[in-house]
Amino acid sequence: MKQNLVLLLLLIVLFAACRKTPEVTITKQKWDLFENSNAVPLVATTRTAMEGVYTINAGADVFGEQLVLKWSYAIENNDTVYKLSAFGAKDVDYFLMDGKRLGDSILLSGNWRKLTQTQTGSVQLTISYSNGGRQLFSPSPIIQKDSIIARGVFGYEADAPTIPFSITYLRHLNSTPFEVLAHRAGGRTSDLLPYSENSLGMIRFASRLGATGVEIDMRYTSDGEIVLYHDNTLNLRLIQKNGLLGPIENYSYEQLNTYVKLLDGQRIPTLREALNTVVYETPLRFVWLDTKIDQPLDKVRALQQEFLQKAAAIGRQLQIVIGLPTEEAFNRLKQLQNYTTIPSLCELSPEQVREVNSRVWAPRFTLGLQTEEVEKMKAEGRRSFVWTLDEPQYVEQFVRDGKFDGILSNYASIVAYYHYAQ
Amino acid sequence: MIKNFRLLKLIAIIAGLVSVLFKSEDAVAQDTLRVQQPYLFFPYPMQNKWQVSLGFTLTGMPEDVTEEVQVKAPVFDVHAIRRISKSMYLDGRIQTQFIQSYFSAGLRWIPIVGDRISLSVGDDIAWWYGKLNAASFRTNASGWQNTPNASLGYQFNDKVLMTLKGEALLNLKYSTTIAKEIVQTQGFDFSGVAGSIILEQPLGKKSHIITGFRGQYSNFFWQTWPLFETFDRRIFYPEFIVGFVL
Repeated sequence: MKQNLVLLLLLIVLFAACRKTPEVTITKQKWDLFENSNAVPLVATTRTAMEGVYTINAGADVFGEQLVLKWSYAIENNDTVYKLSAFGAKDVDYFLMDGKRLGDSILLSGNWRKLTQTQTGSVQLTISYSNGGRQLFSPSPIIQKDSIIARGVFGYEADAPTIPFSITYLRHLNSTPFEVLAHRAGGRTSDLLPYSENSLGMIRFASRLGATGVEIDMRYTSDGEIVLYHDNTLNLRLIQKNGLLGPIENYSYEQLNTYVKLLDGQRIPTLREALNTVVYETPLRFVWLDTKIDQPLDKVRALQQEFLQKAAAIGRQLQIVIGLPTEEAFNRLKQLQNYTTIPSLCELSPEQVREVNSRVWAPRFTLGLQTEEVEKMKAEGRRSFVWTLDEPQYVEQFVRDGKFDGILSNYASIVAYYHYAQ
Repeated sequence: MIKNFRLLKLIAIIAGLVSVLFKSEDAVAQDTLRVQQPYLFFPYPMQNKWQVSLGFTLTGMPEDVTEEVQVKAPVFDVHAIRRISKSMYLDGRIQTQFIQSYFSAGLRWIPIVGDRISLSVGDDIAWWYGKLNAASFRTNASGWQNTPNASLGYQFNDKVLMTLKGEALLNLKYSTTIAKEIVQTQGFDFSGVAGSIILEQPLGKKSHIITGFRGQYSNFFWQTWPLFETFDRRIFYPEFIVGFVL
């Protein structure tokens, strides 16, 4: 009998040990034409004119019917780097491409990923002079339906791209004011993005995913530094194995900075580093500071003020709000002087939103569309954001039927798709 | 391709271990099966018209899905078998955590294959339902699943019955409603596979206990619906099974 039980246990251990750790590997394909020394970066007018909703002609079976194309920038190694993102609804498709002009043509080269899966691949597209290049290179481009056609190929994983892929310009992007808010600075670590959640790399990456703003999680270290970290404890879901356990509040910043690495190898950033990155290295215009701390908010408030001033000084239209997810955080805000003048975002009742004069009301999506209450907030000059909406079908419904001014999601790209394609 | 390879590797390893199990018990193996105790999972013709067990299951939720919200709530489990003929049986099961429940019913065919090995093949249809109306969470969800399955049984001695069971998991329909206005539906989907190893044996003089482990590798698990997980990739769910035969 004992032998049987030992073998049963062995089988269980074996079965558990066979768990597959999912991986996403992005392989950059070399394209000689794209690397040609005569290929030059695209100018701003061309980039802007290319943005729009496109119909997928070849490749619709893999990527769906439509894509939204939008440029973004980030400061990388002191250089402003522009990239063209494409967002699709099928499997939360997402493309990230570089663009160049070679002669009379535009070349686009990059990779695609299905964000809810692990599938990736490469893509190479060309817009010839006769298929849109002529309009895009003019100083005042006039772009209409069918005036741009990008043709090329895509491939799976590390394979050379050989499968036909083409898209045709359909219409302009929806320009209604709306915030596409990326959860945890851009997305969850478990979604296998190139950077860990709540990291500086992810903040820089957020706009590539279509985000106009980010939500970041704040916690105090034992010596009073505010850092970005979501969970209550150090755990292997977020950090590399190092032997440290327990609440992050038990460790000093120096200990965390010395011994703890996020899964992608980055350090846990301070709130100061995060806000500095937002202001100086991204086009993001909204920051939601999610309060996961049970101490006074004066340090948070001081940093909020400092970086709002820094953003204003360089002409950035940036909003930084202190999130109030709990009664405790709500009461902490009320302990600050002139709390009704402090930009905040309240997840509690509409009455509490009014009590502290929050700029934003943010109810949970499971409460539904709440159209009447959202309209009231709008009439009072407040905005309403809904969280955390990840299912594409729900995102579509909230964008189409709701009156919210923004959506917080782990998949900013799907929110961007439904908003811009509307 | 890689996924298939890993699955084949897993099946091969388990098959290898099972063969070791058989070999290790050769000395006590019997020429014919003489099952004289009550059982529910073991694929062998039953003497009783009805057989029922009460117990619970406990599933380890993957961190990718639950993150730090590690809900370790057991599921109350009622399992009943009804003999239709010597080789055909009705197999029904109710699993509930009260806010969410899973009801399954199916047919099981048990041919007599040989002296040492017993087999069954079956097909279950399941309906699950969940409802949460608390504070800012006003949702409910339900779905239909189909699980074709096959079991392989081996009797170690007069007392210990071991069953290896494999299942294919097919989602037939899934729908959720949020705040009575937002509705999501999803159709047919091959969700994944599950494998179980179950031991049924006496506990004391009059009782009989069922212990087992079930590993599910799928892109959906009914107990995770309130988490609205979005991963369209297969995730491993280990489940421990304990039951007492009535």
